[in-house]
Amino acid sequence: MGNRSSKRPLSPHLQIYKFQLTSVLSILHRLTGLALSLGFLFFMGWIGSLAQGKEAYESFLQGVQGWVQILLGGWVWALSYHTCQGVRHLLWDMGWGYELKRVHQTGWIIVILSFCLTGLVVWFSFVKEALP
Amino acid sequence: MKRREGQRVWAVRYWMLQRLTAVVLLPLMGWMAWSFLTVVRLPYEAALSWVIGHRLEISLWSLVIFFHAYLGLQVILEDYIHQERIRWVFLTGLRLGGVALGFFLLYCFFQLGG
Repeated sequence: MGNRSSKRPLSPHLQIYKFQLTSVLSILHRLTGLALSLGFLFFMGWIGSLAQGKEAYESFLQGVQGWVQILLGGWVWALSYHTCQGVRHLLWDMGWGYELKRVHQTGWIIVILSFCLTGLVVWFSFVKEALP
Repeated sequence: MKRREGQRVWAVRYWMLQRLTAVVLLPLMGWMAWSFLTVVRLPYEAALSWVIGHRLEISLWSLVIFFHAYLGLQVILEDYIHQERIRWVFLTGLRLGGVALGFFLLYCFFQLGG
């Protein structure tokens, strides 16, 4: 740490931080954001293979076959969670929901809501696929 | 002193932009998740016509998503990389990567038939 030029406060050190709902949700917001960025790169790869022509596209799909379902499911959950937590952040920015009781309430709400939304989106996408 | 002032202005601007892009992206989430889940598994011809039919949407949303992701990743890097030189390398890499992705997307659209 000798090279640090300023004495500004550091973010909590994850290894020595006691886990509680508030901190876990905050860390998850960052992790899901990171995962979504990677998901976006995946989408770019998909478009890239599409641009390369039919063969490249089909070999791309072949390559990701098997784990793509799990990946997409996880991606949808990350999106749902990041969106819910994002709304919570926007409410905080407007000055709402800072009481400790509210923080825990909304925290559990977004956890449950994120799984519900994931189920909904995945279910709809499969129903759509099943239709002619 | 001037640099500190600049950092403060940037911090406020950053805060506003992160929220602004978040609000813009909010109504899009459902559509994006749903179309992504269904479109990625389509056969070649159908996928091709989907992308060509949605070029404008894909470009605009990609731009906003790029920006939102960039701002978020920048904060993570700033929080966990304490050495300024290494941090600069990562941040510059992030910026260059974003620009490269933008050109990549343009190239793809060009390849797909403008």
